[in-house]
Amino acid sequence: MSTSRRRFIKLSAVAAAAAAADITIPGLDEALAQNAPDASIRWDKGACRFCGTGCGVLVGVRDGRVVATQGDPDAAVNRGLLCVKGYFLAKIMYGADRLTRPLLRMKDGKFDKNGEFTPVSWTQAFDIMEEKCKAALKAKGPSSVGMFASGQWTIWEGIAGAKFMKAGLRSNNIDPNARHCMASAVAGFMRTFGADEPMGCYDDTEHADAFVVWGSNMAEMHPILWSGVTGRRLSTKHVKIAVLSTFTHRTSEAADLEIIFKPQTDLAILNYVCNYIIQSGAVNEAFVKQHVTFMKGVTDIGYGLRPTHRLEQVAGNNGYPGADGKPKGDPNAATPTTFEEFKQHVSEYTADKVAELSGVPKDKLEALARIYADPKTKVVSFWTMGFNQHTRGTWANNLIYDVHLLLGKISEPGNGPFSITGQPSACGTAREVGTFAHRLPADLVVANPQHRATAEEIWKLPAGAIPGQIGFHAVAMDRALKDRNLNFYWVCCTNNMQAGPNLSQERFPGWRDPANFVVVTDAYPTVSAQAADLVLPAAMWMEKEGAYGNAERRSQFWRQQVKAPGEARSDLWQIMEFSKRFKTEEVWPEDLLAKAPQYRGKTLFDVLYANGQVNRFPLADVGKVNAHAIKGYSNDESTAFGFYVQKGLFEEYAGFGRGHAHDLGSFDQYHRVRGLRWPVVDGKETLWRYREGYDPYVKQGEGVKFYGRPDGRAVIFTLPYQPPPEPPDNEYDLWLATGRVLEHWHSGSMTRRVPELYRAVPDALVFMNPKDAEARGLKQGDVVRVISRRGEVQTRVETRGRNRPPVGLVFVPWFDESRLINKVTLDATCPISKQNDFKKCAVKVVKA
Amino acid sequence: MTICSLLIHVLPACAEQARAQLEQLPGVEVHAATAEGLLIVTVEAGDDPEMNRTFEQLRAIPGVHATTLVYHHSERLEDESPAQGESTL
Amino acid sequence: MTLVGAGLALHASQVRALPSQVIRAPGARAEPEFLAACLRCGMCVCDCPYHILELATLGQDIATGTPYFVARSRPCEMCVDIPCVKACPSGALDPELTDINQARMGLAILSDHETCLNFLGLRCEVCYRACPLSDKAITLEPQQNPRSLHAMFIPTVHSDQCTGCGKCEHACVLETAAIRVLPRRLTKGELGGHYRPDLPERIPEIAQ
Repeated sequence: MSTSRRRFIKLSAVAAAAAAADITIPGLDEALAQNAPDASIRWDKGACRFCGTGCGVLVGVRDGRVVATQGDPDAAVNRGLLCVKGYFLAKIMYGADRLTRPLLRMKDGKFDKNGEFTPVSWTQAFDIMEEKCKAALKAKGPSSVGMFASGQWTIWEGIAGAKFMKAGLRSNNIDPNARHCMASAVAGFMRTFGADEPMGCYDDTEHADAFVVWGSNMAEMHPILWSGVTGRRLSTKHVKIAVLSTFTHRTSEAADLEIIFKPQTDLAILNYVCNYIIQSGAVNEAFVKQHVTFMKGVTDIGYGLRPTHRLEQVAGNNGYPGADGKPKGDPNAATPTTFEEFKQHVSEYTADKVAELSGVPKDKLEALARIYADPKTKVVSFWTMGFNQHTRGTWANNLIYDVHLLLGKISEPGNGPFSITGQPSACGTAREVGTFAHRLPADLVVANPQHRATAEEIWKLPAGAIPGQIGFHAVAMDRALKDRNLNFYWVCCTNNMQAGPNLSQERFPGWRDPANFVVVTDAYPTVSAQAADLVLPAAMWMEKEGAYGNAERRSQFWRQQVKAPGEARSDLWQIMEFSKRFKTEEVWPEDLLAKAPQYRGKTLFDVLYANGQVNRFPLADVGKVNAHAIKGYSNDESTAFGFYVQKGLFEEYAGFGRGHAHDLGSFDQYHRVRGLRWPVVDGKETLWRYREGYDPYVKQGEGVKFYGRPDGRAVIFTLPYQPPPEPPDNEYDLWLATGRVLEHWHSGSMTRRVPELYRAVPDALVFMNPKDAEARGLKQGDVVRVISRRGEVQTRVETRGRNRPPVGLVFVPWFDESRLINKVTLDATCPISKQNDFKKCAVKVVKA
Repeated sequence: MTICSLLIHVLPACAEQARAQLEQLPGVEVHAATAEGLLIVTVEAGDDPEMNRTFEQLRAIPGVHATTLVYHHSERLEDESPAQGESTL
Repeated sequence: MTLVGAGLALHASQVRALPSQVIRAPGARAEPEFLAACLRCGMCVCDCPYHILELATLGQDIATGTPYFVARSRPCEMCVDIPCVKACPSGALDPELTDINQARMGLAILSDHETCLNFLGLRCEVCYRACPLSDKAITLEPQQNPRSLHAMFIPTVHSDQCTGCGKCEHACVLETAAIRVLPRRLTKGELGGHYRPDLPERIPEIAQ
């Protein structure tokens, strides 16, 4: 026991006795406060490291270590509450197997693809990376290098990574894990509204009369949001909750209206709801007339499978090269249509037909439609992976907007469609910064020459620096690695070997192919790290200054609280430091250099980061900006590079959105507040977009304006039900859906290292209907093989507990690295969003 | 290590003397005293038996009328050396 | 000899009161009957497919050779075919128990409302989701949180459904579990026979 602890206990003893005797001892309270164990803890604000809810946390540091975390009572998102993962946040950085040194596969002192992981210096690590990256660039050009980014990157890591790849190496082969998470939501937003991200915010939960949850187990995956929804229902008796899912889970169990539908038939149900709204005369005609336009999307768009797959060969609009070498149509194409044609189209989706197709009783379908159609009911629709991880994910997103737009129930408190996200900065980093193969910051895209010119101007780059060719998306990267078209691959802050689909057939072979060199930056030896050639140890969460953007457009900043262990460095430092290894002459063609002679002989670091903008805030600013919170504050990246790196990157990047309805506040402001929802105009955040009185971009008298599109109108899309690519058959006779559990976050690389969470849910089980189990001669706890055409895993049968699938469907969570369910899943994507469908493939389950 | 606090009633007449004697005992500190003869005392001891012996000594001091245990804290020590020269207030 | 005898006598007096954290196998009869019937053969322990059941050894506060488990370490997996009961040759584990959901090994009790994360407004509920009979043996009762607009979800144990498997206690994420499985005699209250809460509140003939 330390002297201070002994002292504190003695003071407590005195205080107890004084209180018992009602004696006042002068100075006792002060002495207790000074000596309290917590007095030596330094508290500061932060954002949770896990899901897209974006709960505010208070982080307590003592002796250079995060020793305490608690919900931030001043954070509007969670008002001091957390889920059980958040309760254990203090432990995620302190797993016993933190990576602290770069590790390279070596044999006889040299890199060897089949060598043992051997500690090397950062210089050695960057040497081999430089060699492999330059070799790939020399042999095949920028299309042969790629980076897999992350919705868990801080905003500035996204900026640095996107600039390095898109402008530095001139390759759009950068795509985030968020592709697996919300690409369909993005495509849906862009198609319908011409602008990404939700119009509403979490305050909607305080105003809605009904919540409809589609393909989302919010009770487990967004626990604090769900507490808000449930809190609303408790405090307001008339509030109803409807939950649609392909299996019973903790959210549907709590619903007033539980709808279990056959996989993929959500498309039909959405069309039915539109039909009901029209047939019952509930259309908000004034709204539709003033704010909506009608389009019909192309169909026959394939399933994002390899072009050789028979379903792709027969698809006419998948955009793949046809026999003549030209693309077969465009899955994203749409043509103008009318309300009458839309009405005609949805009229086919009668209650009888949809009940038959979906397996949902007619009375439940009608009950659902009535919730939407009732003009007095304010409705919020929430959705996550059920819609997004869907071979028609973009359509599902478009269709839910159809419902809300027909009714005009959008962009006002308690009324609106609300896509929620699974990662802490899927919005803030992946979407807003645009770390996708087709995007640039603030909704700009690489395929648009004007957008590229804007980016080049802001980044002070010569015209033509950013290539117009869309890069490989996440699933295409796997295929390109396997086909040896992508040869240098850097995976940052994500565990895609475990998270991506069809692991054994499509991903692992490419990573382990001697033609390719794979680098993984991570804090822990994940499955991905173990499959890499070079592993770079990462600083995580409170070991770096950070910013995340949550699902309600709220950007939240935190300060670096502690040092990273050993030689671990942030992804930001790694990217910027590695950029010093490239001279412009090595990566840019002569015609580009001729336009910017001042960049000759410069490194990519000079051009991208020491460009007079990113480095314009001196090191001294780091302390000044944050003096209100931590005296003498600094952060490791700024110290390393000699300027306030994060502020420079952020302020340069904010230039994309300011004045263009993506306004971010000032860097310094974010370091003082508990986050702000963009657009932030004159220091004020925006709660509801597109509506006068809330959104500064909607002028007086305009009422509602969907200004993301040139005509100011949102699009109601005509889109049909289409079947999924791999339904169960006689041999593979069950649907497989994968997903998460509350206790673990994503691949479990952090939460499985918290002993208490590991004990709470140690293994992934196959959740199965008892009748399905019985029909296969299986019982609770039996060891079984879950087999698809692509691979298999072994696990135990669970017929009880949290998830209760209907007959014909099994559910397996994917957090468990000892049971990699993605060996089994299918790499079929939405052909528009390129997001994988992890909810539907055919499997069989047999006794092991 | 064990830390206790006690309320000790002493006869006001003997208060000065009793307090002096209390403070002679190893591990005993007097933190406050009232005019009515109420003392707030902490006792620090290596373990509970040692603590009990100190209690017996406390009670045996002339003028000590009553002792009331208020607070008792016991925990294993990594560093078993007694706190030296500490003043708690 | 006398010394050993005295030691054993002392030990015997200790084991009459089973330590509270010790749970018997499914179907175990009331403790005195169980001790009388159990042959100490260990067959149930051999047939436990998850190696949850253990045999008490000399020196433990449990009758030597009898089967038990400690929920916090390893809870009962509730096998649907109940191999431990089938293995029991003496009937100490009641062969009439054929539905594991009817087992009453103990009773879960959310014993500490001060440290339970759900009572603090956090979204934990690990015990609820760990429960093989969740929504029956443990339900979540939503309550308004006075501190915010968010709901609190209070795990609530139902004694008519709880088998006492111990999954909840095992899964509790606190350093010391706030929910525990204890022998039913230690947790369950009993109303006086004169009070019948299940009777109808009104007697129509008189109310007329």
